[in-house]
Amino acid sequence: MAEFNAELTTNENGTAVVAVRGELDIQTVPQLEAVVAPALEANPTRLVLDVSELRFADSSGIALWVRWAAQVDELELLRPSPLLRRVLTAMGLEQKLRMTP
Amino acid sequence: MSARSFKNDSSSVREARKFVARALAGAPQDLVEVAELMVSELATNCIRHAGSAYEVAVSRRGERIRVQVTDPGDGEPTVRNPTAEDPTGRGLRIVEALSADWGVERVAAGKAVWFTLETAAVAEAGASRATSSTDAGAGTSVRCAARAPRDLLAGVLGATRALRGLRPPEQRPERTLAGAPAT
Repeated sequence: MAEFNAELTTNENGTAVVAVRGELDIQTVPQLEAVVAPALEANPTRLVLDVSELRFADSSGIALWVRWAAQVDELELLRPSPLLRRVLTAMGLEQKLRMTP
Repeated sequence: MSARSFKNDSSSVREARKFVARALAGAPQDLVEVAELMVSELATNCIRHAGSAYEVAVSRRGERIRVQVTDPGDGEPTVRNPTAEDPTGRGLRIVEALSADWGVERVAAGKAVWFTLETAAVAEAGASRATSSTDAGAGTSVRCAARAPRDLLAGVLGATRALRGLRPPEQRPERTLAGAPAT
């Protein structure tokens, strides 16, 4: 089993923040989906994914994020790795999945 | 060359990544990470599309790294051109964007999708861009500082080179390798 962990919290502004850790691929995407599902049922305007401790993500993870981006007004990726930033930019997703910083 | 078979199970994708990382021990870390990402895409395609076990082979010859993923499926891998709204269809585009070269070959066992990464050729091709790089290259140079100068340059430029993939998607024509639709 790939090492993976996701933790959902809601900050003081009512924004759902998900801390995603480990490796996100075809095997672990369902775990992340399950953790975030309750937050999406509340129809949030904004979803924040803290990916600062996400060591790996491939197109399976990107596919999930793009689906989520269609359900909220804003999806934000906090502190992506240089490689993840490079990939998302190369795929033309830097507007759809806002990366900060 | 080292090669290993992996089962048709989503857990094997991570194993394939680790296998490639081990086979490339000693290569610049940024290059290893890119290789892990690309093999993850190809292994995932085997499970999603071919629905079969697969073999991963890694070879290093001089400055060239070649990774090949073979499955028995007869589907034609296709580089798609998804819009920002399409969730899927980016696996081979990532390989296309990050590899030095890639392709598909018919082999006795089925089809083999391969990609290469080159450290030295990268250094030559990207030399003019190196001085102006403010991207990941800076971090890479720190990590590679203890290496020989040539390795240092290759590491920095390896990170810079992936920027080749930054062309906007609308300028990239649909590429079908053998004319048939994807499986």
